[in-house]
Amino acid sequence: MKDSEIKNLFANLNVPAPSVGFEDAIIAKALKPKRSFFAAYASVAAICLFVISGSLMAPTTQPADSSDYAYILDDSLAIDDDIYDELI
Amino acid sequence: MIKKLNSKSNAAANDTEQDIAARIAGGDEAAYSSFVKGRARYYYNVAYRVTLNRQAAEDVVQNAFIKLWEKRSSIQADGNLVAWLYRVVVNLAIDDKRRLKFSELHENFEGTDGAAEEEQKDITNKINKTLATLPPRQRAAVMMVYYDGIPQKEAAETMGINLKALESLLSRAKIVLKEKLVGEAA
Repeated sequence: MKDSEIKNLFANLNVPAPSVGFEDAIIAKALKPKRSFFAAYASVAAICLFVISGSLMAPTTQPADSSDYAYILDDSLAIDDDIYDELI
Repeated sequence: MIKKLNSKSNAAANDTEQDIAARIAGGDEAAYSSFVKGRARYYYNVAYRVTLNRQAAEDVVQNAFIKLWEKRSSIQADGNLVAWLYRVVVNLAIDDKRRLKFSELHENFEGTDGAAEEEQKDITNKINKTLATLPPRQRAAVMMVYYDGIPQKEAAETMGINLKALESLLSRAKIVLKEKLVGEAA
């Protein structure tokens, strides 16, 4: 088979025209500004940091009311009294 | 090869290829748009000859030009932009999974009538069917070497294969084409 015969095959191939606006579609797609994800990432990271730091800083146990404080205070006074008793 | 490709394409720019490459590398959207408008049709024809599918050829060219814009910063001013894009188009077209459906052969001729056009339609359909029997890699190799006239060494480099492999593709393609054409003529 001659090389020219093969060339003629391609030369005679019917190439249909591309879609209307083919070039414009390429340009529009290529030059379309890409959405910046930086702001989205930054805001999500800030929320995560806030939640994590909040959970770390929160006290694990809290007195229910003022009577609990009084109980602790009374105990310490009692212990102190015992110490002074021994010294005397 | 670049000169050959340049002469075949429709680019009627006053700028040299190096000027255009430099402007695109610098993010010049006008230069890029002008380059697309001047060359897209040429690359579409290249892609179509490999894929034999209009939509696939359009997608291939679109992806190639988008890739060019995304990688514009790595374009070298003295680089061969046209040849680089040709390589991208050929390889994307080879990798495209869509293939010509024989029903599409007739769709390409909708709206034609008359005896002469019918005859032309038959001839072109026969050519399409003959070329469609080749695997895409063989079709790409044959197109580059015998139609575009690219030296075998450069064609092999474009496809990322060695010269022996390209010769093998060409040899097998010739056998298939000969069998097909002789078989249909008989």
